[in-house]
Amino acid sequence: MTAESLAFFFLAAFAVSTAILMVLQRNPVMSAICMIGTFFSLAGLYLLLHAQLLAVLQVVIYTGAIMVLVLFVIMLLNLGDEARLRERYDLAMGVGTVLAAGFVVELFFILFYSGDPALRASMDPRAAALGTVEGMGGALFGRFVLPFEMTSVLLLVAVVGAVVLAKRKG
Amino acid sequence: MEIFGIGILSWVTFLPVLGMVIVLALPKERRDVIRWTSLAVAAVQVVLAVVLFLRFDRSFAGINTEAGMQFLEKGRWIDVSGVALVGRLHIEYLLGIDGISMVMVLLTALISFIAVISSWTIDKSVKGYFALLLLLDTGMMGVFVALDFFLFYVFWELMLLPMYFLIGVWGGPRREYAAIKFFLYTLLGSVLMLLAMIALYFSVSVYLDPAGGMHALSEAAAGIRTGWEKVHTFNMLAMMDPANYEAGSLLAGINTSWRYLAYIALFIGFAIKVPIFPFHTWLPDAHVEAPTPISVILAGVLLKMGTYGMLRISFPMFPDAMRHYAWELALLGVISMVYGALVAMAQTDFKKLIAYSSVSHMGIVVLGMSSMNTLGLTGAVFQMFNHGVITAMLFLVVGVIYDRAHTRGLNEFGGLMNQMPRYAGAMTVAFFAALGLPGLSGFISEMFSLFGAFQTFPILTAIGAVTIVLTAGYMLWVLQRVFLGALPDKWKGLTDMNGRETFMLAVLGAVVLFCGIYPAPILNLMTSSLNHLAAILAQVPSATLLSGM
Amino acid sequence: MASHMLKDAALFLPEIALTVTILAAIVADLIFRRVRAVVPGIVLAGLIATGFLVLGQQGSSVAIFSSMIAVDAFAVYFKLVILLAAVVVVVFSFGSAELQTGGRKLGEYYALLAAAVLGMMLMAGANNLLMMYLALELSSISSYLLSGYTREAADSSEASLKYVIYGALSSGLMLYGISILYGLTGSLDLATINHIVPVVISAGGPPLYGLLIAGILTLAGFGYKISAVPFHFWAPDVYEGAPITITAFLAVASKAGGFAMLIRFLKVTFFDATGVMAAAGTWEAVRGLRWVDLVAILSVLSMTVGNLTAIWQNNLKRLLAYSSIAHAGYMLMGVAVLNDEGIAAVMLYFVIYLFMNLGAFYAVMLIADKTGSEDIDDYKGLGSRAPFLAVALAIFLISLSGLPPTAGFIGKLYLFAALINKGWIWLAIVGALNSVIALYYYVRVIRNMFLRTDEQQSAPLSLSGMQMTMVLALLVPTLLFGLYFGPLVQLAQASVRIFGAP
Repeated sequence: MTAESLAFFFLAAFAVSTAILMVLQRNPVMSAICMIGTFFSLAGLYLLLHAQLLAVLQVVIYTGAIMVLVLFVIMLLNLGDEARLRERYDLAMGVGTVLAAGFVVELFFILFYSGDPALRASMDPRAAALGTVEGMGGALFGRFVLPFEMTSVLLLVAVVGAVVLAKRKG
Repeated sequence: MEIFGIGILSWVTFLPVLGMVIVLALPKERRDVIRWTSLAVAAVQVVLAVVLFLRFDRSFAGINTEAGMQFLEKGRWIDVSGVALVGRLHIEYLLGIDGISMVMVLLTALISFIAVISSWTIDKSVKGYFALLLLLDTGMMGVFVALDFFLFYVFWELMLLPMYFLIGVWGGPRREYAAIKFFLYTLLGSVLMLLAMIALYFSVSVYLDPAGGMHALSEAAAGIRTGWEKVHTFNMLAMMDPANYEAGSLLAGINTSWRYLAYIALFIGFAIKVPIFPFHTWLPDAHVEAPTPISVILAGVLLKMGTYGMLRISFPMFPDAMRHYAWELALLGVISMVYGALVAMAQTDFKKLIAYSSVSHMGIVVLGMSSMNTLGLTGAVFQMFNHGVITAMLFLVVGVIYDRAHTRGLNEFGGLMNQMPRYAGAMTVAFFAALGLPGLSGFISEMFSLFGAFQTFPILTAIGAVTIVLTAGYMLWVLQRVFLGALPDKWKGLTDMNGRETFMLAVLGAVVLFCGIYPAPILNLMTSSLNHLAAILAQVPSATLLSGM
Repeated sequence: MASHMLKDAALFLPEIALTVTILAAIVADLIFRRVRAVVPGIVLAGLIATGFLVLGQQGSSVAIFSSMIAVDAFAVYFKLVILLAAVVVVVFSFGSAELQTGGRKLGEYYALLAAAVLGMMLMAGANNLLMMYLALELSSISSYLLSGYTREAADSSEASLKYVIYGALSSGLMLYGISILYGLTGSLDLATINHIVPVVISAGGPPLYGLLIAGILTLAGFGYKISAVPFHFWAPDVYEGAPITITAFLAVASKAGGFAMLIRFLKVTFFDATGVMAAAGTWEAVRGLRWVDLVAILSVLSMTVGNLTAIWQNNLKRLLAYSSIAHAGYMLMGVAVLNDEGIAAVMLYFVIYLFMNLGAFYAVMLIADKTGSEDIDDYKGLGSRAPFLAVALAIFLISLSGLPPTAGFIGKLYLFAALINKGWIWLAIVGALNSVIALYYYVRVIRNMFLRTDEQQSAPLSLSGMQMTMVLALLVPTLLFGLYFGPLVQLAQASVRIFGAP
């Protein structure tokens, strides 16, 4: 096992376990902190993929900005521990759990065994260079200019929506 | 033949729609104007039908050739040039009549006219009532003159909605149930018919010349001329020519299971309308709840559309499947006959009794049709006409007594003979005609049907013939219960028929009598067509026909 | 590069115009706070202008911006359907009493509506999985906001929340599917994926299952957008809770976008490029994947569940919601056929569906505005209280059930024809039986309007000239296309060409 794959498994395990912890935590602040852990490990994973810019942006935007905002809101609203929503374990839940578990197993099966060389060869060679600032910029304003621009419309709509929702409270 | 540049068949079909527009434009307070307008429209329709009758050339066979059809009207309705696979869409506005349709056109015009007169007593939303009645009239007439399957289907479905409202709004206490039952039953049948229609459409191809004329696929053997284009078609006549079925298409060949399936789909669609046992359960409900004029139309015309559909569509297009299932068809006819008669015998509700007698009488039509010979077919078509007239009388008779006594319980009456002599006369004629008394029209058609069927299915027919005794039994029993015995005190005030009622029954009674004594004018209409149809049915080789049964 | 983009931008003009409309609407709302008609006017003008720009794109068949968006006859057709629906909905909204009584400013409402339209138009053209996802999100986010716009009631909030949660789940699943697809093929471009899919399939084993799972997950996103069973759970609640204008909009335009995207995805990604074409217009799906069966199952489920559930509904909006689920099922039949004939049938159906469904919703809205109720019991006696409206609604419902001589029949006929011609007899029979079931609940409404009377309420309802015109504008095509549908068929057949597919 190379150092790279060692790092990968460590980061992946950390990401998944913090994500699970985040859901399980009753205290919102603790949840938020767990989420920061997930974000950090994701940033690490990006680094492993040579996506330096993405890794930096991940830390700056998600961990830095968004999580601070989330924590700020939690503290501002002074949210208490989350009340238990559901204690009952009925049939639907049981069936759902079994199905979900089956799906996970299925996915693992596929993901682990789909290492066909023919497929790897079909990968876009430009993918490797995408992680740099230059590659990222080129992609965003070249090939992906339309999605990029449309994302701005999407954000505009989200802003308008936030205003609408905020106004309704008043 | 054209009037103001529009063909007479279009006139006879769409005149009621014109009337409907006028009725809708009238203010709803002017009830009498609305009634008289409708009556005028119906009367003109009768006149047009008589003109058709007089001009009709008895020697034309019709059935499956355009040349054999009369008063043909042909026009482009939908024409979309094809893109790639989808192909050119060409739907014709094609009207025409042959011997079978001519009889039905006469019947429809007559019954519609009577129904309008009978509707005079309708008081609730007169405007809406007559508008719907006229729309219904167009739907019925259209079914009998359409020669394009698509057009036929549109007319077929066009009747459903007016009928739903006419039963549902103006009907008896359980009208909602009866109306929706009628609607759903018929729709169930017609969606199956729709699927069969589409399957036929894709199986049949013809060549279309630039002028819009159609040429059978076989004609192309002589060389496809320039500008000819191969198209699918809804043209019924093209669907009747086996040479037009493309090799490898769903319904090509003979005696294939797809053809049987399509035939059965069509059969269910038509059988529900007839109605043939076991598809009959909507009928008693619809009849009992419908107002008198609507019962008259329902029994007089609508039921005939089922058997007409079989003669016009199922038999000529699927002669092989028809022969394959002829015995089963005859069996269902016999079951309908016997079952209808037995159930009718047990009824105490006057209208329900007549409804079940319709099942029984339409069973005779089905049995006659299944015979596949000219005699049986003639009996069947003539029985369709006669049953239309006779049942119309029967329902009018019920209507007369119901209007006065507000009950239809047979056991509540008695001794009305002296109280209502004119009524007794009319009712006796109607009942004797229904039970097949010689000298009245029912006798001739029933005998023709049974004789024809006997040649093909002797045993079944012998069983079915029991019905005649049963029918005589319950019909006479009704007469006895209503007219003989002591007159209950509560009916002492009943008045005899008024002029309007007498007129309607007299007109229909005259037709019954005339056709009973001198049926030739009607029979002449259909002989060549039915000879031709029997020949088509006989052409198909069949190993599966259970002869001797 | 820059000139290339400018050339692409010229083909992107309709969307640009619509974006400008959104911005103008937002700005105008800030400036003209007092005048009610300004923002709707701007949006209406913007939509119509966009429509004309779309019309100008007829005949082009290219993909622009590095194949992100296709501009082809197919996209133009669906864009026009979406725009037409949006124009009608804007007019509805302007006259809606429900929206006025909310006491809220409606400026953002119209801006969001335009944004939703933009999202749907992008859906119609999206030729790249990333673009598809973005377009879906754009239209979804706008729709979430619109569906909870007016009412503060608890059930409305619940509906809105349900919508968001289901939407998030479905788009999450779809994104996951897209990521697997990307992992397997190395591309997000539909045409490129199409080249690689046979490689994946020939590899067999796990990659094949991966492809299948990716497809199913992606279908979840589409299924959600077109409210096909089993992704439909949000629809009845949202349709009931949302303002009726938005319900109508979601039932028609949103579905059109979803169907356009689904068809393009299935066709461009999975047609068999190596297979021998029997004739133009027929194409085979890549072997080894049973997409068609999957779509057919969705179709049967949607029709049957939608129709059977609709029978029990007493709220008209809810009834129409289930009916629209069933209609998604009918249209999926056409998709399952997987040839140009089926697609043309779906496209034809959409135009007809637009008129009859919007008409039904408009009639329900007018009745609700006047009687304050959407309950089927309050429809009793409407036949005499508002004859014109009741007859119109009856015709729309009859058309929805597919009886001649209404346009709905033609739509159904074409769908069945496509099925039977391809040999899908069993599916056609299921569809036909379903239309009998459907008739039952449509007739329940008609029955209440005409066959029953309400003793308490007998005051006539009057319509303004404007409302009458609007009803007529929807009614006339519903009847006319039932009797003369040639041009419509021609248009649908001519618009079936999709860029990048045979």
